[in-house]
Amino acid sequence: MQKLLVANRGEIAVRIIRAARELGLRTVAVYSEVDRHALHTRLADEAYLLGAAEPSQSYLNSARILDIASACGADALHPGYGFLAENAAFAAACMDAGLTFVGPTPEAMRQMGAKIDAKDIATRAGVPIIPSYHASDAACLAHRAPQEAERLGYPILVKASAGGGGKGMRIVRTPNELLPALEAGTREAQQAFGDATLMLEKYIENPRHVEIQVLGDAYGNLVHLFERECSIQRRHQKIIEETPAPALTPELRERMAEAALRLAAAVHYTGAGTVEFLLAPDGHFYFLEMNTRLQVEHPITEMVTGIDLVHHQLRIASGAKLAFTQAQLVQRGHAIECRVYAEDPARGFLPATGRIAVLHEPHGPWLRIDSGIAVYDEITPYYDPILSKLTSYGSNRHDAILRMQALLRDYTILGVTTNRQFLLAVLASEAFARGETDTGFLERHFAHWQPSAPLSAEILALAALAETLQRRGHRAAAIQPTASGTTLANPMTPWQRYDGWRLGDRQ
Amino acid sequence: MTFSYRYRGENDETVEVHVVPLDGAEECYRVTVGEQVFELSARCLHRVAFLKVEGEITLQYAGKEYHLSDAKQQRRIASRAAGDLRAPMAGKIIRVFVQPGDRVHVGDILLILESMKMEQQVTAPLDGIVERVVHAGEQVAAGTELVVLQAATG
Repeated sequence: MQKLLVANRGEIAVRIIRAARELGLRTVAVYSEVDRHALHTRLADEAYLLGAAEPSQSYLNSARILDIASACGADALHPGYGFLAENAAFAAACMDAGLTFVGPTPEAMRQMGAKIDAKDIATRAGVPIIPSYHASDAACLAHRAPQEAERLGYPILVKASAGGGGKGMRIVRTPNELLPALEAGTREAQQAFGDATLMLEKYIENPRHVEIQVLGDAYGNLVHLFERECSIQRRHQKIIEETPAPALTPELRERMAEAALRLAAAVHYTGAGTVEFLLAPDGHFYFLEMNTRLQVEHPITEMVTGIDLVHHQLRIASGAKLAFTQAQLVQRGHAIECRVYAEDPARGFLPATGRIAVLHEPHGPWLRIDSGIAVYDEITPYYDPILSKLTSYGSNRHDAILRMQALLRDYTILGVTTNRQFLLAVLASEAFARGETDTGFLERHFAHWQPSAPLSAEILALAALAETLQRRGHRAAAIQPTASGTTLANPMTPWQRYDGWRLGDRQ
Repeated sequence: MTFSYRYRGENDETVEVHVVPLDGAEECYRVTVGEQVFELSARCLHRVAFLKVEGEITLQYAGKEYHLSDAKQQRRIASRAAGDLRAPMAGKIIRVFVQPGDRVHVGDILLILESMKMEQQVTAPLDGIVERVVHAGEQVAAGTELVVLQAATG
């Protein structure tokens, strides 16, 4: 492996390019028209235009990506996460084109990508899945439902077999609620999906989302790198992750990790992958899905294990054996990650766009920032709103929390609305400090959150002082655009009107 | 020399702020906010991030973010009629369910806007008749007029 094409953008492309360079590889970035001057484009040794901003024209345009790889002589491709990362057909096309795909085999991706197949494989591998009952037709269901519900154990979930999105879904807590729920569910399912078939599933109350990182090589060696807890979610998307998970005992960790390894072994998994579980308050856990790629939240695992997952992905893909055994891996200290999104938590997490006018990314011991942005970048509506990931490390959970709070207070992006203050509020909350995190956490504690920063006379005084110093040309250098490509590329942009600055940045 | 500002905060209240450089003390200023007087040095701004764009000010201090505006500059977003629907975020119009002349009721889905992989339904805020509407496939900026409804009478 000599030359790696990174088929992604943003912080993950930057992360992978850096790792590849550390290993002495030449790096190739691809970019869309709006990412012409993005950090990942500037960082790589070579960069090639994919096409228009829409993902279908750019980062999902597999034919164009393969053409570029061939034309520039790349011999390997890293897909990052999202976009084409879990597309088995694309992985196969890479192999056909003679490119090393940095990831598992297309066969493993296919097996884990199809939800029903993945659950069958899990069951055969002795990995628990959420107990459910599927009836062949409505009459059969009505007849068998009471017994099956007893078998699954209340509360149970009644839902449409055909669809998702909560349509026709009902939580049934006692046997006498069952028949009315089936009747109403059947009507709703028929209306929503044209198919009245229902299924019953055990309802897991207040679950935690706990996942196990695995890493395998092509010679059948497979290890786990412990767990990550990712229960703090909005709209089913993670925003805060940590490891170790507050709720795991060593014994439970061991059992979950073994289940994850059994599943990975069943599909001869190679490279980095993640097995996601729901963990019930009673200690039972259930397989959700396997992500056949590098995860967004991989830095926390790297912090507590000292293992660079991207380095090892690249080494494994180039045919190396795993460089360590399970016995050599230890989980040391505590790490927390916060995802900084361009969104407004006070308005239902609505995506936000704009131009980054002020950016300050604090440095310090036991802090890590995975950033895909630079000052004066335009945040467009085309892609996932993730801007950067903040990671803190501590010898224990309390220290990691304190460090993350300080990092969130100092981290500054002005010009685009972000969830920074919301993350800070969560990190500062009693409930988070107690580790009472489950997937209902934000709904329960932060459903009506508003940033509470009433203007005081002091703040008005500081604003007027900042304006005055700016007017007097004080620290003029701090408010001039830097020699970034973005500014040069947009000579028409009225930079003089973006008077962003931060006095502390001088020299 | 005095630098004077008028800021608008929450509830549309405006406050006058005056800044006077102090003689003999380098980088020191007397700042008067209404009745209150502060003596500040430039050092006070070391932990302040400040941005002013078109009269809208964002200030980050001690981890908190504050928003105010310059009352001497015209507001960017003028007040608007109830039937005037603007894009809550930049994005692409992926479906449009109505056309000019259609009668709609409160809560009817008018169109779907997609941004950063998230779909947002835009619904009718009142009963009325569609006067104008954007086209499917259009890329819109935040604040773009999407639909104009004429309120139903009677």
